[in-house]
Amino acid sequence: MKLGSLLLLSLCCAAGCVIGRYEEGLPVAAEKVPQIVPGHTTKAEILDWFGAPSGLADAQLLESFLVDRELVPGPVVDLPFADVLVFRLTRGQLEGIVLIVFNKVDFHVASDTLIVFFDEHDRVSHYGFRKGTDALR
Amino acid sequence: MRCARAFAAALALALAPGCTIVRTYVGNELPQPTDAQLVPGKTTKADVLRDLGPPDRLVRQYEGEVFVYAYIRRNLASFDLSEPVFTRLRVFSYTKTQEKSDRLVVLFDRAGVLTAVGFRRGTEQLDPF
Repeated sequence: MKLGSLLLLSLCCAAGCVIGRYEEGLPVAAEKVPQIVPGHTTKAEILDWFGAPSGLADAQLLESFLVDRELVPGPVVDLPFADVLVFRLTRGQLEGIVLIVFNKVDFHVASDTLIVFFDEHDRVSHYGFRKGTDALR
Repeated sequence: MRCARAFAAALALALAPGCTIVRTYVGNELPQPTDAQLVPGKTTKADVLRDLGPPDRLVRQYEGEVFVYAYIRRNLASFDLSEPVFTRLRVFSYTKTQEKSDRLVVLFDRAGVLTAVGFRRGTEQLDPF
C-alpha cells in the first residue's frame, strides 16, 4: 500500500509549468508616430524613422506559421505596393500548466502595426497605428 | 499480495484520464463599430484608420480597397483514457475544437470613401469551459 500511496503522491506533485515567449519583427517606434503629418511627411522620412518595412526586410516566421494554420488572415498586403508601407512587430505568448491528468495552455498572439499610405508625390496621404502588444500581460 | 496491490495502483494511475484545454487568441478584440463611425458615402479611409487602426489585411479590388479586421479565438478541449507504457492502447478519446472570429470588412471606392460595411461577432458563440 505504501508504494501505491507514494505513486499517487508523486503524480499529484508532478505539476509542470510551461511559459513561452516569441517575438518577430522590429519594434515600431511609437514615439515617432505623432510626427507623421499627412500631406507633409515624405516616404524617405518614414523609412528613415521606422527603418525597412515588414515583408521586405524579414521572413516573418511566426506569421507564416499562423497563416499556414489559418489562425490569421495573412500578411497585411500580398504585394509590395509602392504606395503602402507596413511596419509590424508580432509577439506570441504561451502559458500553461501541465499536470498528469489535467493540462491547460493559453496562447496569445498580438501585433503592433503601422500602415502608411502615400500619394502620387510620395507624401503620406493617411496612416493607421495600433499598439496591440499592450494587451499581452 | 502487496505486489499485486502496487501493480493495481500503478495500472489505475496509468489509465487515469487526461484532460487538455488549449485556448488560442490571435489579434485584438474588435470594438463594436457605431453607425456614426462608419457612414457610407461620408466616412473616409483616413477616418477608419484613425478610429479602428490599421487593418489586419488590405485587399485591392478594381472598384477600390477593402480593409479586413479580425480577432480569432480557437478553443480545444480533449479527454483521453489510455495505457501509455506497455500497450499504448487508447481506451477512449474525445476532442472538441471550436474556432470563432470577429470580423469587420470595410469597403471603399476608388476615391477612398466608404461604400459598405460588414461586421460579424463570432467569438460570443464559443462554448465556455
